[in-house]
Amino acid sequence: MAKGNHLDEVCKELDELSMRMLDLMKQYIDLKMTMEDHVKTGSLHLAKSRYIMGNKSVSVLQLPTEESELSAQTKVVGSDGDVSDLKLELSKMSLSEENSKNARDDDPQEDGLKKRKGKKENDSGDKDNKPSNDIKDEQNKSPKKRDAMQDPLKWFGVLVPQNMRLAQTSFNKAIEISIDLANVQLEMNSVREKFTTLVVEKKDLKAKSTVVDDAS
Amino acid sequence: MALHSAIKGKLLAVIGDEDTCVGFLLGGIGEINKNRQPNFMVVDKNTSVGEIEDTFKRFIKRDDIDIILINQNVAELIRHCIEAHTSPIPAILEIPSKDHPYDASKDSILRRAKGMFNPEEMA
Repeated sequence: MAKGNHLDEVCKELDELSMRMLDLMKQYIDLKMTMEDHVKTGSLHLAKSRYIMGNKSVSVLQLPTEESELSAQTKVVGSDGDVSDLKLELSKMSLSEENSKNARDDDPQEDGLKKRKGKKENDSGDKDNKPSNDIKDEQNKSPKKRDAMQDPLKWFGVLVPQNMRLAQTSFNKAIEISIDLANVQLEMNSVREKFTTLVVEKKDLKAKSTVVDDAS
Repeated sequence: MALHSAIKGKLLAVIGDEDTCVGFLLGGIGEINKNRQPNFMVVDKNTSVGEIEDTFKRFIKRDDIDIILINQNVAELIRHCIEAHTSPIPAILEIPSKDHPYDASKDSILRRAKGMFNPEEMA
């Protein structure tokens, strides 16, 4: 009897997993459709800005090449834990934050310059060399940082058409949806793995119960 | 020094046509690391299947990539590589492009999921 109950439990769990999988498949297809909408809208806006700015102004040629350094402003952060219940989240670096950081970076430079002036008045000669080298280093670093972290819109010029901004918004939404899609995909994977192990268990239980029936 | 540690997290990679790459890079996912390796690949009509395959395999091996976005029509060209990739991370997302609408019947993930409802496996 106990074995029969266990078999029932396994079958029930298999049913639940199947229903969950169907639900996830529906979510997955819906998300893909929404993504398609955003990608299409974005492409249309890109095409409009291409029409306004000229054919070669919105192309691969404007993308950063391997010679330039570029770091991502949008990244994925995974929750700590097992792969089976991993959840991904979007982590965005807002450009305003970056601008304020740059502004803060500029301040010490100004202080440095002021100090140098002050020192020049007081001291004379060799002692000035060290601080001025530091300032040069800082000045060299900061433009690099700004290059790596600028708004991607700037690749296409300073005055970009409104459509370009709209395209950026659409693709930002598409990126957000891609994170949701990845989460659904991860859950589908874990459901499928659980399902296959349970199917094996069910087969074992069935085989055992038939052997017991035959014996009796 | 602080360039690459500005924000924590892993990258999204893109393999796709010009508009897809330009669009997603506008969203700020592009990165070129210290080894001068970008996390995107623009596929045009002159790109060979071998090149796409190599880039895809390189992206899979990189441990700083969590999601690979690939146009469905490009994914069709390297279907065997995508089918062979079974680990959940990096997650491979087949995305539609402006010329090729999404076809659910070609999606590897959905095909695997459908296998669950195959009567032969259930028996």
